[in-house]
Amino acid sequence: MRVNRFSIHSFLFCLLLSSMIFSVDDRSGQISFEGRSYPLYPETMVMPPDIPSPYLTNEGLEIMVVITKTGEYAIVPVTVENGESWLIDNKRGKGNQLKVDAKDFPYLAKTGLHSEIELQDTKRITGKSLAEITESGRPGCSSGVGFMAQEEDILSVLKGDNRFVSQMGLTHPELSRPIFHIFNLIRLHEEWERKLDIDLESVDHLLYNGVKICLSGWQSGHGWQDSIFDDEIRGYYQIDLGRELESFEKSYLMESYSHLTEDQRSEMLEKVSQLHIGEMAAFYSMRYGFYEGHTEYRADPIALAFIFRLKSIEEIDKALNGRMYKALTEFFTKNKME
Amino acid sequence: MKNFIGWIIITFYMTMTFLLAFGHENPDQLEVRISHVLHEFWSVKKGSWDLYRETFREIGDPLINPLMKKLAEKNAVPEAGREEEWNQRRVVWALGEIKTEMAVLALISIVRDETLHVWARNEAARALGHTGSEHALDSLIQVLEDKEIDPIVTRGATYGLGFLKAVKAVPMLIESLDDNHTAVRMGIVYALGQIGTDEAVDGLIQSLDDTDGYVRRMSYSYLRTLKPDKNIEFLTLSLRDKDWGVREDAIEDLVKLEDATVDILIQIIEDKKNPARWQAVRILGKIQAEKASLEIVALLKDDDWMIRNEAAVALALINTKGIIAPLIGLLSGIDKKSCESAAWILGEIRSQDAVEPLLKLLEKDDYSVIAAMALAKIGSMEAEIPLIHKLVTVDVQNRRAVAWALSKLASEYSVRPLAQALKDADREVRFWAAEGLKKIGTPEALEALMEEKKSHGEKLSFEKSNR
Repeated sequence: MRVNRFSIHSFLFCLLLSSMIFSVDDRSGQISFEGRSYPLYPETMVMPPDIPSPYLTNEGLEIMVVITKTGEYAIVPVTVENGESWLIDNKRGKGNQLKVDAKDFPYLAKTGLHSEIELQDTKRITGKSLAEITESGRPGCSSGVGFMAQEEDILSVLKGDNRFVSQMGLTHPELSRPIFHIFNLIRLHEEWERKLDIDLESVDHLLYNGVKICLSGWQSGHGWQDSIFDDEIRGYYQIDLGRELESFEKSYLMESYSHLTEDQRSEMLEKVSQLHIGEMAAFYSMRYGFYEGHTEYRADPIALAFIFRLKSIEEIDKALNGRMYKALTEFFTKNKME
Repeated sequence: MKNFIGWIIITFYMTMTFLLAFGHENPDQLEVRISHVLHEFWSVKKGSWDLYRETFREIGDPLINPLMKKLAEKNAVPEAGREEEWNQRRVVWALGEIKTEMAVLALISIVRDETLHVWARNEAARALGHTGSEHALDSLIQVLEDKEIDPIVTRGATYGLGFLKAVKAVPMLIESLDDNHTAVRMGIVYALGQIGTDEAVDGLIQSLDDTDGYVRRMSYSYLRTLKPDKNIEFLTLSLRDKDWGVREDAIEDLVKLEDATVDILIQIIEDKKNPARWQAVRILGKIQAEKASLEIVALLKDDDWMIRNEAAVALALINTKGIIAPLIGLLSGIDKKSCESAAWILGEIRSQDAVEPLLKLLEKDDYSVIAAMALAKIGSMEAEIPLIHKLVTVDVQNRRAVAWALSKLASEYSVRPLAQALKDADREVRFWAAEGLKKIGTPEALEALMEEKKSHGEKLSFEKSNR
């Protein structure tokens, strides 16, 4: 296979640097799959690599295939793991990606889902009362947009999403993994740009479980968003992603939800296939099973399951008992969840 | 001889150097020096401007004309790509360091010059504040009066007046508190805070009605510093502010005051119309105010879930003997919400006195979940048999709570019922049963686990890790 590189100069530069850089990261600059070797990002290839995406190598390296703006392919190492702090004290590590709040939620730490009983008995999380977390998470408090709608509260949001995730036969770590993959891609992209002091080609799409996901972009502001829990999590990025519905998926939803108005159907299709999220959602979903309430930053678990094809549209709809529209749009209020 | 000649040469050289450096310069020499200094100054970044401070002050007025001519030039060092703006700011900085009356006049002309960049004009206004000049003061008041001027420049003027501690400007500052621009109002609050006279304090009190949270936050901060005798009054007032940031600041500071605030906070929580009740309970919990414990117990019946939640958490933190009897009183179950909260607190503080009433509560189906969990947290072995009886109840939440409780108590007596619960239809019940058996760890318990694993032919839910 012909391996295309940004330019001869940058190739030689990369070649010189790669041994040093990968020794820093304790990674080799290439991986093998079924007897064939492939270079790792930031090197790109003209032809798509014949390798599943995402894929876990025998050495424990998680990779994901991406497509750049110029239509070239790259294999990105995106292993979900604990690392140094993320953008705190000049560190740019991966953060505690595998940490689960086992003190407050032992069941979550062991099974990947919340225990209904533990949630019922919860009056504080990370030492903060539910009231304090809820107040801080409401729009116009610690964040302008908020972490949940005005009518929602933290416990109802945790309960509501836990039910959806459980019904879909998934776990919170399974749903946080693809967000971490994207976060790790962003981190690596920016790390390489810093190291090589060049602008790398933007990543346009991800190949994931057989679907092509559009990564419309990511951007960071000047400051950061603090966490509503008593933890070290901070948010810097706004990430936009989504995918086109395949014709059979669209037909399925159109037929199954013919009783909805056209506006409602459009709203449902939009909500299930497009996400505007921050990297906090990855840490939050893994650590607390929290995807944020119904705000514009919600990492809706139903949309995550659909976009990254963790479940088929039929499986998701069946799990939600044919109430996908309601599941995507209704707020988690105290009255509804008790 | 050689030494003598050498000494003469060294002395001559040193004298000449001294004269060149500090002696009187003729106009040509001065012009050369200014040209040299400005050339150098133009080629350094902002971080190095301070190196020229002494030189500018030493040369003084002769620098002003050449600097004003520089206003039109492009910057030699592009700072963040805004060459023109940074060029003008460079001139303003230099004039601000000269501090003579001529420099003041030059700065005033920059402030009023609409052809210049607003941030350079803003800095000129601020620089005027450091000159201590009466001219500067008057010109800054005029800027404040001029409603047509750019708000960024007005903001600079307010800061300048603050640096000057301009008592004369207070009426105008107060009059301008209705300015449409938040940045200007913040500057006014800064100035009033720096001036600090009684009249300025009145202005700050007036600004507590400002529509912007940041303005109010600054006002509260100055008022508390300027009027230390009214510190707690201002803090409790800011607790009811509609802005989250203002309230959080107040909470943080009230927590630091500890016991000094307890009586006032009790008054707040007892006043049902006071919107700061929730915040007051939160502070009382954080400072573990034993004195307020009975008043907080009363809040467990409140209509607002946030107050009930905060009261429960506060009482668990306060953890004093005095609350046990009233909490046990709430276990009668007349009011479900307060009963549940009371059971939760008694469990959290491991109250042995609560075991008997909790056992009674366990018998009531509507309350058995919370009672079972509280009893397990207390570690009451007396609860084991009643709990085992409940393990076969129809209600799944009850079975989950009982399995959870038995797994915490982990007594050998529970091995058989927990082994039975491994076959429960509910995943969570099976999980807690398995957890209990693992914790008990006797051969019989482990055998039950192995048996279930074999007969089930599939992984038990507890084996599913998050990776």
